[in-house]
Amino acid sequence: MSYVVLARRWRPASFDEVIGQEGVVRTLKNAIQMDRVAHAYLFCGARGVGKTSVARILAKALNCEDGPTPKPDGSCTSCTEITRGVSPDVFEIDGASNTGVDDVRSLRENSQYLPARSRHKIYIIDEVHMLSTSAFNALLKTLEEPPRHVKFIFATTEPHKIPLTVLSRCQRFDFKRIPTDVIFKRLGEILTDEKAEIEAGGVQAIAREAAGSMRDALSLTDQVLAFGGEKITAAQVYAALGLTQSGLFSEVIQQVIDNQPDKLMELVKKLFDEGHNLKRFLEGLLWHIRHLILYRTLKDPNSLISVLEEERRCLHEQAQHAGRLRWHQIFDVIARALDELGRSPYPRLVVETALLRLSAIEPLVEVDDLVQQVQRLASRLESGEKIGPPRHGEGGKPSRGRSSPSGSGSQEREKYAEAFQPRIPPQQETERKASPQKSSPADSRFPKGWKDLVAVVSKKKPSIGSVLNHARPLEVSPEQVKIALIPNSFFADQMKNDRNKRDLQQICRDFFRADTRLVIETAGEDAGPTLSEAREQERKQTEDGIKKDSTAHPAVQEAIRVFGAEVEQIKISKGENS
Amino acid sequence: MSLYDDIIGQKRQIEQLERARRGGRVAHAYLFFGPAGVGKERVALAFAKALNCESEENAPCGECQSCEKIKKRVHPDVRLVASEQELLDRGLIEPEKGVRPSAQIKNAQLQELSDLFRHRPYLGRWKVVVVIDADLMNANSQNRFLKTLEEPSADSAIILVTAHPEALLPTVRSRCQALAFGPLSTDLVSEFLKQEHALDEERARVLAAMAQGSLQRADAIAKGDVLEERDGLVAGFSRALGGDLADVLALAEEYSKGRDQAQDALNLLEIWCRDLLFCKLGVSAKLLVNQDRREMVADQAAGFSSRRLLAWIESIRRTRDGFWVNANPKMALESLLLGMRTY
Repeated sequence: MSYVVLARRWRPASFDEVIGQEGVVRTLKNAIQMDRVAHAYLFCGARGVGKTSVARILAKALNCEDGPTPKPDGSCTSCTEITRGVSPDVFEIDGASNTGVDDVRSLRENSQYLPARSRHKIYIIDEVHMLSTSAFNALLKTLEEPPRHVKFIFATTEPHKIPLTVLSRCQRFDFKRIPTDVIFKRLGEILTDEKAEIEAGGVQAIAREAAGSMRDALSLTDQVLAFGGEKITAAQVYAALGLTQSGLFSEVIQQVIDNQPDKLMELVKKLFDEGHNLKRFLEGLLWHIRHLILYRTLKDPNSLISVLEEERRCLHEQAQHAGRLRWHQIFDVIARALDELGRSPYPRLVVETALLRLSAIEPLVEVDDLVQQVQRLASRLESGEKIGPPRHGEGGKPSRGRSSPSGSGSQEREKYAEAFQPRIPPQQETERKASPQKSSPADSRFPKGWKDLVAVVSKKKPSIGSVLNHARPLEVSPEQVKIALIPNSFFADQMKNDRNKRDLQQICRDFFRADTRLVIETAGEDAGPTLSEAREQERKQTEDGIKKDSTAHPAVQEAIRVFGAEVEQIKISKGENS
Repeated sequence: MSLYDDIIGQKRQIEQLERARRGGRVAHAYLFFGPAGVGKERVALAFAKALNCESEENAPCGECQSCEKIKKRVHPDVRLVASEQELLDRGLIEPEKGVRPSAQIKNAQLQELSDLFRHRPYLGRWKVVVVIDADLMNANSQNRFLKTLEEPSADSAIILVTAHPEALLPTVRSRCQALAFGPLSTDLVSEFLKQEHALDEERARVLAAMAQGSLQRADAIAKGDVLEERDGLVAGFSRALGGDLADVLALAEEYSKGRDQAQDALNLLEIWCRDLLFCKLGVSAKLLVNQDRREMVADQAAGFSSRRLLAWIESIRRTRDGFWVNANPKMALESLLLGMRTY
């Protein structure tokens, strides 16, 4: 007689043996007890979580000779017939093989007749998502109002493929994935009963590999039992399942962090020559990195990671060896490699280059760190302004020393501070008084509050706003706003208009909430820059920078070399400029 | 002497199956997965023979009536399922005029199995079905197969063989005992090449490394002049990198006579660049594939940064992927080479 695999032998035979589906089981038991059993059920959920098993138990419970009872005895004719699959009143139909409308029609005709022996005629349709649309439609009427003796139980892994009209006629139960520790416990019980012994670490690995499916767990156990002898060690389990021991993952990761390409490649060679399945290896490695990320990010990730205590400590320890961002970077590279592996004719090369890439690329800098650095800088600059006169006192161009990249922290900051200084020395220091409004970021070329004022004006009166963009502010204070325009220019003409003047004055008063006076003068360029000039200058500077960079780019240089060309024109598109 | 001894590598997998057989724990469904050309099918057929072998000690003996019949594919209890295309390629069916052979495993083929599962084995002890390239079953067929796969009649074993397990439904996979097959070690492959193709030591080692663990591929490349092809390609590649545009275009032209040729060239190039990268990063020279051209590798590697080499490998792979979506070989190669010249 052939061997019956564990998954079939240990198929739960009563509601109490079903694990991990407490909600579903309780509801069904109560329904039977209270005589409120619906005529159509839909069981959905991942593979191997108990859908078909529960359907069969429900059939037994309804048709048991002592029933209907939530505890079918399993020994009466009806129950044994159902177990053997020969009951004349319980039809287990393979939805995937009987997909057509004709199959449903014959089912419908059949269902009219009373059951042969039992209380109910029960139709269990497994893989029901494979029925054709017309088959589903043919079923609708029967499904809504079946004969009193008929019950339907549908089971599927893909409920989204079932028409809404069918869904709404069934009571739907969603079966959950079974938690790893529940599988772990159940496996322990089964193994004791089978008089087999597997080391706890091995059972843990099986439970984890099963990924929420009891059938997978038992298939894997079978495989392991077939492999080993009396007492099976964790190492044997790993070997039987073709898994890589987690110690190896730690080693790989450590060498990535320590930047040891030669050792890494030796490791890959070893894996390869030992005949490891490299896809499985990468998958395992990805999980390992996932654990590390969780340990680096969360305060208490233990509930999310099902490994043994000892391994936990190792993970926790290793997670501290690199920053959060570095782990994410490693994860990304490995995840991409896993994707590539399916397409490449050389899996080993994919693994090798992924690991080499990890040791070749530099760790990323945290954006948070950068932001903090910039903030520190900004606050330094601001406080620096209050203390001393602005740097234009240094005379001419500020010196831009780029000589010491390896300077100490403070030197480094000096360098940044210089880079942040406006490159055009401000022409004059305008007298400033505290304004009630908050000012925009300090720009010593313009009186405090000027930019804000222009912004407000541009919003309320765009035409006047554009004039102010070309005006030179001489004084901006709650008492008086004094601006200069180029004589006889278009803008000066604009402001000769009384209405415009009145409007501007009003906006100024609203802005400062004071009785502000507006003075408009005419003056040349020596009275300081206008906002639009300043902007133009900035744009030019960035443009010059981009042009310089792009001319120096190796691709461009190469093109110049190859074609003996000259750079004639550099156009900057909007996208790059921003 | 059992037939298992003729199989190169995969000793662990064979051991695992044998233990199950001797311990009376043979599962009703297996999934053999792993890279192509590493011996999955050989193991599956040997196991089918072992299950039905008349010899106690030496199963599968390969000499008894049962083994003979399986070998000749006339055993009534052992079936091989494969796509029509595959069967045709192996010469197991005659080509039918005007009908294009299906590249998929058809529903009808699975249906034919149902009579097998209806009765007890005729001759042997086990009914065995080996499905070659099980990933060629479409979702529909896979769904239809589920019930059989979960609870076939007694004394049945179904062995699904595939290089792409991810193409199978999770519900299918969960019903099988999965047996992972890995690549064969370079030593085993080079030993094979020395014996089967009478190659000298050095050549065998390089070819074995190029075969990357696949016996099938080793066999294929041993029949050609892959090393000479590589030398030509590398020379052309070096010219294209350093020389002018005409060299690039000439190289692209030379290797784009067909998609297969372009793909082969890219494969060789990928391995070459991988060796350059190894050399650049100071990995032991023992691990190079192109052992016979160590100096050349070292020479060329000196000229490029590791980042650039990584970028090259990446673009080679991208170009090769492009062939899946019908990229024009010549244009793809040109664009690849031009890209490699600039960075």
